[in-house]
Amino acid sequence: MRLVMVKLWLLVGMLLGTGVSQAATAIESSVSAPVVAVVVSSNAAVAPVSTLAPNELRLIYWRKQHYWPNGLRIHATNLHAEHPLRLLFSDAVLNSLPNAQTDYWNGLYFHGVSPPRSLQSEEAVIRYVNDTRGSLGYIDACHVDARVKPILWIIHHQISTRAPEQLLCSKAN
Amino acid sequence: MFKYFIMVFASVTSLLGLCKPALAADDISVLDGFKLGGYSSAGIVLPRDASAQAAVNELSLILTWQTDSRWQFFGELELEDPLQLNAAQGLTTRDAYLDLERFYVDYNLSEKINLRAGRFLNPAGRWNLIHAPPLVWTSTRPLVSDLLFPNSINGLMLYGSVPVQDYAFEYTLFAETLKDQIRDEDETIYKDVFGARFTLNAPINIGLSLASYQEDHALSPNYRLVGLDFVTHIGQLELSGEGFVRLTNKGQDGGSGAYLQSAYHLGHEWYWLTRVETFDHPRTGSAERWLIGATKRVAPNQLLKLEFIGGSGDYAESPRGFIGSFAVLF
Repeated sequence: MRLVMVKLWLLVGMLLGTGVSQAATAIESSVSAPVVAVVVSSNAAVAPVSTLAPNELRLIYWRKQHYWPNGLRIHATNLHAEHPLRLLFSDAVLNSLPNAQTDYWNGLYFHGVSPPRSLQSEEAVIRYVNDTRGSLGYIDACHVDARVKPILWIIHHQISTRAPEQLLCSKAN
Repeated sequence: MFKYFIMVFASVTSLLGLCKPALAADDISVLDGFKLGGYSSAGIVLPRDASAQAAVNELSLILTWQTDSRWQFFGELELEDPLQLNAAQGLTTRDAYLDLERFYVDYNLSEKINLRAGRFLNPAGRWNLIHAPPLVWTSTRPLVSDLLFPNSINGLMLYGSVPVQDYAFEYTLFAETLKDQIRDEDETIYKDVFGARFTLNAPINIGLSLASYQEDHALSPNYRLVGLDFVTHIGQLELSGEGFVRLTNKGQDGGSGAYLQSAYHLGHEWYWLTRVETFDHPRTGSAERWLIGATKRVAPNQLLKLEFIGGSGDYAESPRGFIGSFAVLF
């Protein structure tokens, strides 16, 4: 039994030793929280703004700000309430998780204000934002493509107006 | 006029229900901006010194309209006390009546300036603005939030929101232009109402309410109302309260009251409720209330409430004894 344990220990040690360099990026990416990109359409005719202040993002997602400066109505989108990015975004931007916001949204509903539209996937967010005037959403920064343009980032729980210097994206992302 | 409003409301609601499914998914029409919702509650009351009663308390329908334009509409029509069961009358609908709770249009001039015209809730304190049973922890309402000022106003409102660092500062200015035309049961009718409310939505949500008004009878003094309210969350505890002082224009006492309420999350969506309140009214005298209870959030839009109420003074709005109710938002 002891011999088997030693062999297993050696085997794990060898595997770890040889695989460290190749696996470093993937491990770092999976262990640290993903960078979230707040996106608008890359089509200038659809995009409501090209920059956004962090406190405006908060007001928009609390539905305290309803219009863009040019008068367009804001169409903010969320990912569904259990999505890991939704939890991360909600905690960083709204300082609370979706299940703690029930009273707040019920109260606003009573006054005719609905919470941001909830979508099922990041691809759905990209398509909606790309097509809908006045809309914005958020996705994993590794999934930003030509259809959307990031205007804010959430890095290590902080809202940043500057793009991360380096994005560690694995294929699994 | 009131009947006309109700007929229009009911007709629009019904037509929308018929029309909406026929619309093509990609067609954006004016009708697409309509949404219909509402709430209802039912419960039992076992008063300390009266007979028990079960009732459907209200059925409220909310109709909103909002598109990409700067206009929006809001309407709420409530059927009050539609069904009651008690020893004296058996099952009865005789106390049922319709109430147009809210009916207004909003126009957005800018994020900081919005105009509202129509019938809206008086923004005096917190409870009056969210008084629907699925939104409040208890079946009974603090006396001071109900009996010291008009609950609704027909008139104009100017409101807006200004960002302050990470929070929002909100203001509301309002004035009555048409006093209530219909008296619901023993409701007090007010007139010449105007006032303001300011709130800061921060970790401690604080509100200041100011109003001036008088009751609709010849001998009523002109009242000045000042109110402070707050709500905050500390871990699993929600703490909230409101306090109002009302003076006559000659500086005499016109009534006052306050309450402090806590809701502690016990787990599994059960909340432990405690509330203490005091109330003083020049006509009805002073009263105290204490409340203990438990409320279960059955679903995000459903509350089951069980509470015991004690104290002094008799108020039909807040009977002493046991009350249980179920409320749903839809």
